[in-house]
Amino acid sequence: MLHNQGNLQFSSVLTLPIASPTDLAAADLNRDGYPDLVAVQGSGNLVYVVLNDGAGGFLSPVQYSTGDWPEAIAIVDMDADGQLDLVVGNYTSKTVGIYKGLGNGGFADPVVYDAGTKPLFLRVAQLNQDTAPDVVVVDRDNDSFSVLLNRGDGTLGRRCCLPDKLES
Amino acid sequence: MSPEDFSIADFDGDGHLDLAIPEQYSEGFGLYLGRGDGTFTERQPYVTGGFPRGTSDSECAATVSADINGDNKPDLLVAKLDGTTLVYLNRGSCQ
Repeated sequence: MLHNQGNLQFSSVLTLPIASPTDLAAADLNRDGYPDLVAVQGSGNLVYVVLNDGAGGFLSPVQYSTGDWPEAIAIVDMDADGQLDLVVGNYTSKTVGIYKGLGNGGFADPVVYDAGTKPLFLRVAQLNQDTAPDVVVVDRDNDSFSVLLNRGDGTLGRRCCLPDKLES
Repeated sequence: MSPEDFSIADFDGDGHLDLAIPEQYSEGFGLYLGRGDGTFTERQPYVTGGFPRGTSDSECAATVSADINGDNKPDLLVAKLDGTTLVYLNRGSCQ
């Protein structure tokens, strides 16, 4: 972590105690006006939540379990309750976990969905006509992808994917 | 704007988001047009050429979608592991 000093210089490095993160994301999880960090660690099957202390530092990371080898994470309000949730793609277990945000920087245990493919990359976007964010995962091992549509309440329903390659 | 592992944009201007996914084995990317219901058309392959097929340097590693030429259509930049970056200008017809 490098602090921008405002004159195109950065402060010394602040190292967060998360080894070998496979993906990172930032957003204000506890609504205190400061961006917080989340990271997944593939080798540890963990997601770390690191809250900003508001003074240029971070609190100790809080760990949550994931599926096997998480590779991707996104922060988005999946259930439209005004609180940010976590979407984690677990590569080896071919699953997507939704961690419901509690609004205070904490998260509920995940609800886990079959992704149908190994999620190396994961993005969230509105892919059908409702306003709920849907999940796209891409598997580079066989150049395939899956779409998991949000039912509107943060649960994922029908898995849409291409014919041929994806259902194998 | 930052590099993305794959791109989501309305490439064909029909109001529905489409996917451009760099591919490890085709040395190109696949374009999938969204139908607006969460499903997509069949892959339209774009092969970038360059290194001989099968060498790791030919792999397409990342994409960015942005309106490069100011015609209000999202164009696509594709970064390859061989160090080249390719710009695909959107002609609007998605051919």
